[in-house]
Amino acid sequence: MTLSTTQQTITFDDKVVRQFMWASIIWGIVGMLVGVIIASQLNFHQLNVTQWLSFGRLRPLHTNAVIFAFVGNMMFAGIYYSTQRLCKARMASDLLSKIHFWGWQGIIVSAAITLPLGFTRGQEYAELIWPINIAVALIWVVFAVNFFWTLAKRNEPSLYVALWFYIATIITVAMLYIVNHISIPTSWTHSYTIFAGVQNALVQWWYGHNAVAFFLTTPILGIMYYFLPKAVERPVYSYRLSIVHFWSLVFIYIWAGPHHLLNTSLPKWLQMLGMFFSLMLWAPSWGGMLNGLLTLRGAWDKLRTDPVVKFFIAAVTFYGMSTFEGPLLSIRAVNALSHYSDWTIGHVHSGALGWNGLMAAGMFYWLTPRLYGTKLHSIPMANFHFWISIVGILLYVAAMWVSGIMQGLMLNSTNAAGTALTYPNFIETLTAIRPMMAFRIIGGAMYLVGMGLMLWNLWATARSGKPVNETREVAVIERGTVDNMGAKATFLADPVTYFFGGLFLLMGWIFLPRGADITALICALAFGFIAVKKFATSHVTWSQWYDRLLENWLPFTVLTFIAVALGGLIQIIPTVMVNRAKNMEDRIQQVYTPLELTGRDIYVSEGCYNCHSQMIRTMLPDVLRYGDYSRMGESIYDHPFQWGSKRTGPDLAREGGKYPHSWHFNHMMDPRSTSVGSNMPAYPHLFTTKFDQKTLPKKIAAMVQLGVPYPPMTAVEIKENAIKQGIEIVNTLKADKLSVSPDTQIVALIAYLQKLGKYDTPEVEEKLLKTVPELIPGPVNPDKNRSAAAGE
Amino acid sequence: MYKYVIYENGLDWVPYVAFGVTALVFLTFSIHALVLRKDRAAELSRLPLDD
Repeated sequence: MTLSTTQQTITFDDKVVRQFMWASIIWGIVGMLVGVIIASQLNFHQLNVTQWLSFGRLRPLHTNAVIFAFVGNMMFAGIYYSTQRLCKARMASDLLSKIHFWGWQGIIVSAAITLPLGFTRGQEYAELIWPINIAVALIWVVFAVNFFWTLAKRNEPSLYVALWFYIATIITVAMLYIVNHISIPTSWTHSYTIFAGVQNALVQWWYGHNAVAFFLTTPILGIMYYFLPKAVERPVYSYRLSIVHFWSLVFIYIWAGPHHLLNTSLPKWLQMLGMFFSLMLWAPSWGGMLNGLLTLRGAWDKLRTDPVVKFFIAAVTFYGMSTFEGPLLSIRAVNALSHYSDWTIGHVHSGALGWNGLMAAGMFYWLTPRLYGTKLHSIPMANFHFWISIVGILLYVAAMWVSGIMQGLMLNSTNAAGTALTYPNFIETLTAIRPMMAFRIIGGAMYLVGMGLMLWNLWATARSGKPVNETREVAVIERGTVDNMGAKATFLADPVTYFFGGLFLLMGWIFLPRGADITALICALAFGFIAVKKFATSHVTWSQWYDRLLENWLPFTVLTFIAVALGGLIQIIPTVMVNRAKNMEDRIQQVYTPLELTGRDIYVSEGCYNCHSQMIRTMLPDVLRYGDYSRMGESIYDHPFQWGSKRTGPDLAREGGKYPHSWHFNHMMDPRSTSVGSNMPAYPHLFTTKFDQKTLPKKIAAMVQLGVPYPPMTAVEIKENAIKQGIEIVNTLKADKLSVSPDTQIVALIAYLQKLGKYDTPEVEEKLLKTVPELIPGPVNPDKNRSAAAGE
Repeated sequence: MYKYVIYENGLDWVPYVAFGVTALVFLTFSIHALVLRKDRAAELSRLPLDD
């Protein structure tokens, strides 16, 4: 380390920390209030008062608000505060900090407006429409530039472990978000994801799982590694353990996404990979938890007196519990019971409320007195907040465990011969968990009250002081003594060359043809042997390389990026190749007609996927209840896929043709008229609202561009086709004395629901493909298809 | 090549290779952590408290 004798007085930008903190608390209360409302809607369907406030539209608002608004703002507050201190430098640009803060709040407001209006991409935690996606990416880049610029002008040579976690967060979230949100717009408020079916499922849960990993976990671990030692006034228990914790966590986490798709039509090797890596996550997660808990060594008495320590220790304990439960739920046999049930909801909330929420509270109680140069207004009130939160979480989580296990057991129960279901009526299983769903409201409401108390307590604290921006004398670092590691020193060092050389040879073992693969394996083993020998003779050089890396933010960032990108590439590239019609086993989804496609967009817009899956798993009870298990090819044209992750209602993968049009008509008008005891909202607005004909040709064109084999049609033909099918449905309804206009949304939705589960053989699809002129890249105007076909 | 990977159970080996790679990462950093000098570890762990 080389420090000059030059001293500099710096004033930290704590205004942006205060801004993010208040934003987090306020949005947190809003997000949790929406959570309590939607939990109530599950019990009292009458609370779905208008289409804008129905469960399907509010649930994405709840999840997005809690993840991106509550935890997002909390994370930024913690990162801005700790990065400045750990770098001994003010944030590089006040302007970028301001753009980041106000841009992020603008994104949250846009989400709060568009989601209730039904503008969604239809993928969990990735619902926001494409203009907002672009805004998120841009604001994230602003944040990244500001952060890395601050690292570049730091006055502390070494990068503390908290900064590693922040680096991993920034680069991984950027990668995940961009890849999962690549879409083709059809209007300002609508787009189709470029991925379909199984490919979409894999990319979505690669993103979705790692949103939990790299948005809700790694930045909060960074915050733990900074704020917990500060709160207990002693260094982290084991710095050595934190090194192993960081690298093994970031490397393993990224692979585990497929555990969200166990027992589905996802290829088995990917399911095994997801399960395998999820189980391995136990080790780093518990290493991190123990490191956090043991930091309190010799200071356990603080647990009695200091509410900040109480919140932190309870949060770390919840981290340990939920990271124990996560891998457990990733075991295929356990997942067969837990998936699509409330058990997953309980697991998610023990992480979100317990780990994220309590860490946020601890950090805010520690920060506010320091940010306003005063003392906490009321310690007893903070203690009450702690206890009401703990009781609330436990009530919520226990209720969801009981509910999930009970419903899972009921849904999977068959007679001794395995030939019939014990509870064939889905509603029966729903009725059984109703009391648990009520306890969830109480638990959630208690947590919300605690949040309100925190707001009051911290507001009173802030009013008793005044905003303070900390000023500090720091020794200025001599430029050129750090951040001087070039590409050669980074990548041609022994640790890197041996690691990637070995990896390259192992890949050869998998991908090379027979004969060559064995050669590659032998070379890999020999290479490994040489690496071990080399390490034995020069391990000091290897350690020096890593120590240098810690004083060079750019090479460190690049290596972290490679670590996280590797897992994604190995999973996604083979799946991208496999998701083509010619690779499908025995069934290919029938292409949606224009009216059915419109109906599908309405299904997505209303958030039906929040309660209904479209994936019959390869399990006997699923097959007995819903029909033949779903094949990979049966959702090959679904942009986005709608496999779902929770069954509050039954699976709809083979809904088509199960009931007459009139049943769907009556069910959507009043679900209880056809399904007694249902908690589904009614959708009367679908009967009066006309479906969107104007953008339909653009939607078909986008589908063609994505490779869906539509026959050439002009814009007029597309609209005519939709209305013609609408009239056919209306005529059928008339026979049952039901009347509606053929251009209404309900007609389109019925058309879609009746198409679910319809498939062709691959041969039929191959013939269809030959009639289509040019698929990828295709024109956005479908009329161009027409002329291209005519010209051939 | 891809035919082998996709149709002939070639991909069944991916989890094992992935496990091997992860074990390698885990071992590399565990060894590094173990050989880290005590005074250096203590110095780094005190960074948040260095006010």
